[in-house]
Amino acid sequence: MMTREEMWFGLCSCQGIYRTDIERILKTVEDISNLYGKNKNRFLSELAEGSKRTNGQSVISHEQAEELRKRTGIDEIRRLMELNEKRGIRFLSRETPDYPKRLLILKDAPYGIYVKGAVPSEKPTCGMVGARACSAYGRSMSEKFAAVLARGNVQIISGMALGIDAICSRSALSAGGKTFVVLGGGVDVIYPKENTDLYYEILMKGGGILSEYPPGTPSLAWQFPHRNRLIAALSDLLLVMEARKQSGTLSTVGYALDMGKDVYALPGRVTDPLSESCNLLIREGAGMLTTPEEVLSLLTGNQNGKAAEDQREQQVQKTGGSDPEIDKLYEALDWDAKSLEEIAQKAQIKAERAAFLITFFVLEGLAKEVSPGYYVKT
Amino acid sequence: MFCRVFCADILGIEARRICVEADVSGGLPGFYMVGLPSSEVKEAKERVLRAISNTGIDLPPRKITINLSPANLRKSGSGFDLPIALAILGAMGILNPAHLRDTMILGELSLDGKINPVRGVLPVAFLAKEEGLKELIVPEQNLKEGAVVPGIGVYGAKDLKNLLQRIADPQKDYVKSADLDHVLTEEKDAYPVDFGEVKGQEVAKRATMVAVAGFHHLLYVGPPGSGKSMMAQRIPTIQNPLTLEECMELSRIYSVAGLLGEGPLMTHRPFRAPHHTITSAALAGGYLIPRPGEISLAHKGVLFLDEAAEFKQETLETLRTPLETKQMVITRSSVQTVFPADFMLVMAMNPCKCGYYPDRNLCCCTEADVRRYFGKIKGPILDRIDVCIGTKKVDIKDLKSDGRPMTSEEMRRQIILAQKKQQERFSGVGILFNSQMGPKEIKQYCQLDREAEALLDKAYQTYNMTARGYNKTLKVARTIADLSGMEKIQKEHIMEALTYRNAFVERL
Ligand SMILES: [Zn+2]
Repeated sequence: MMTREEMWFGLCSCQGIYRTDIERILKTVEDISNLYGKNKNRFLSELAEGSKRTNGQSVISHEQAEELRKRTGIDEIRRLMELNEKRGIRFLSRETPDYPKRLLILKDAPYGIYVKGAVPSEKPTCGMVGARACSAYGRSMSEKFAAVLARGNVQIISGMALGIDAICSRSALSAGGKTFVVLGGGVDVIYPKENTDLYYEILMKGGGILSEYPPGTPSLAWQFPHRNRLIAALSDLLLVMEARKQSGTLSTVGYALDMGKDVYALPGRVTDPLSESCNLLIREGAGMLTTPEEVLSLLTGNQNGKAAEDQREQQVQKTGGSDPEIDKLYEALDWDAKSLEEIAQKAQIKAERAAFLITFFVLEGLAKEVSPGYYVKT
Repeated sequence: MFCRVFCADILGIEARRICVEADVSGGLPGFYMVGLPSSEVKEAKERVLRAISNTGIDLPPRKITINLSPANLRKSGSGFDLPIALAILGAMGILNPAHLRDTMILGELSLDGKINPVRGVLPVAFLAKEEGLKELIVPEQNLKEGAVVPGIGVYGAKDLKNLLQRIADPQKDYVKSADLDHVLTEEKDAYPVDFGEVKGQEVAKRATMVAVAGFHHLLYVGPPGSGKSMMAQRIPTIQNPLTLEECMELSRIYSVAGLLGEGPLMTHRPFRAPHHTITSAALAGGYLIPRPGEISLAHKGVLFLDEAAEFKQETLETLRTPLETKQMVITRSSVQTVFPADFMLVMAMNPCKCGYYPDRNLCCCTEADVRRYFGKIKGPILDRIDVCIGTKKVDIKDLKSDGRPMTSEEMRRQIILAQKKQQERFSGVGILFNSQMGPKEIKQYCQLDREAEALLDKAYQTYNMTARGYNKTLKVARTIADLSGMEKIQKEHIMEALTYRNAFVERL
């Protein structure tokens, strides 16, 4: 006898049968068990040919019906399930207890998802998304926010894209936290390749890789907006770190707003194209990100984030001792990448002094070199 | 009848004496050349015979044999035309061989008897002096070059006809050689550019000064219009002046390359900036007859590779050995030719493909794109770079600023003092500059106090540095200490050296 879990698995693993197709199929057959029962063949031909139940319309094509017939065979299902088990891939249907409850908020929640590693727990989650080609400012802010949130036991949800996505996940991991990513292809298809190390690190550190597409599905462009709705659904709160005008990030924002979730954006200068969407979101009513501690207390009700803010100041003073030039140089540093020349000019410090003072800050972790000779505050 | 004259051919930057012997005898008329002539030399036959005939001399139909000795050396170059012609005329009795007994002859002939300039006159002039010869006949255009060597009379020949008259005339009007002691002092301060013209780049200028002071190879990274080539071009203006010995060696290279031009000597440190489309052969030296490449033309000066990431991998690879050995060895049919190539390597590159990273208003490259771009220059070459500095785009504010930019003269003064310290330190060690220190010298001359050592250890861990990076930092710190006139390397010197460390290479 087949379990309902196996039935869902068979239905969801069909190539070329997407969520909307499944929705129509289920409307016709009423319950998934009918696809596997003694009336299987009658239902299959009804789906392909049309019947009274379908108002004479065919629900799926003949090819799809054939695929469905193949995949709903018990041997095929057990073979695929075994294969997935070997690869450490789990399948969770809506009826599985582990299925992330947060996804059920979606009107079009996936009938099943594939998971490598864990799924987010009941603890607070925070989505962090943004541009692939981000600025040094976006990078350092993302690192800072993700680290503070992760240390506060917030699970970071993202898409593992280059730039902001990956930076947030990496930062959460190095802060000792957990991060979960939703992919636009199968969970075993590492995309983009540049983040292969991140992919494995997420798994090693107790996070998870999620996808609604069967293993082996390539990452295709049209799948990413659908993927974004899952990121939005899994996130209790969504932070937009940097986004250009008409950025793909905005689709995630749209989903989150549709679900009634709070969206916060990191403000930037009005002249920076990478902050354009963020600033517009804020004008349209999104929350304005100021400190990670504030976000943390929003998510956890935790109030003791404040102390960390002054810590930096103290560290600068400790490092610099009594040298007034140290203070001036630190003031000249910015969240935006600046050349050492500009920093020295702004601080009115001689080049050869600036050339060694900057190393102070880098070694103390108060500044970072983002490109040769270009520095940002951390 | 028989006649022997002297000429020379060039191997690398050295000249070798060659005897040209002509024998004219009865028998079937013909022209035979023996003694391993290259095809280039064999062609002399036609030029020589036509030139003699067009000068108005009728050669009787005889058997002419030319022997080039020593026989075991392969001779190449077109400078043999004139000595062969004179040897034939001597053997025919048209000129008196006794007049050419102490003479070195060099020149290429046109069909009409004109004498064309040749390469490598300077080393030949030195050879003539060493061989104890009294006279040197060179093409008129090479006269200045030949007249550099003291103690030998030089005649610049315009065409065969005039030359023959001159040889017959006992009244000799040889040019006296130049006064070598003054040639360098006269030419001083003749650079048309100055670092004072580079504004708003004081940090990069400081790094440049450190690099030049310790002969460290240098990399500029910055967006277009950030003065990278402008600064590189001015590096010779802050290097210490050439010594007479260096000047002679460098001039020999330029003489062999046929690039000596009007001035008889190279009195300035060269600046060579080959385009990134250059071939390996043109960069390192080569061709059928070994000629100095750009790296040798940059000897004792600067080899500047702009857009370094655009150079072909194999082209950059050819720099590896010369950077190590300071010379280029070219092997052609089992003959080795050596060209000196002791240059300061200065490279410049953009921070990314579009050139504007990390300015996100202009650059859309992803971090992976940026890493890939840096990866184009491979480790072995980047390992040689001790000093790396980012340059910023110069804006109008910098140009208008009333801050006084550092001039070449100020920079050079400090550099010369720092180099004096190095020469004192390394006298007897066999090196000249801090950059040339090996592990043994580093251990001996780069001792740190407790504070400085703790700092470097911290950096070693924080930056995840390599052992090579650690040593580089010490060498650069040594130079910075020398610039500030200190015996011991201080904490500040280590910190400044760390600023110039090529973080982005080590990360790869
Ligand atoms: Zn770019």
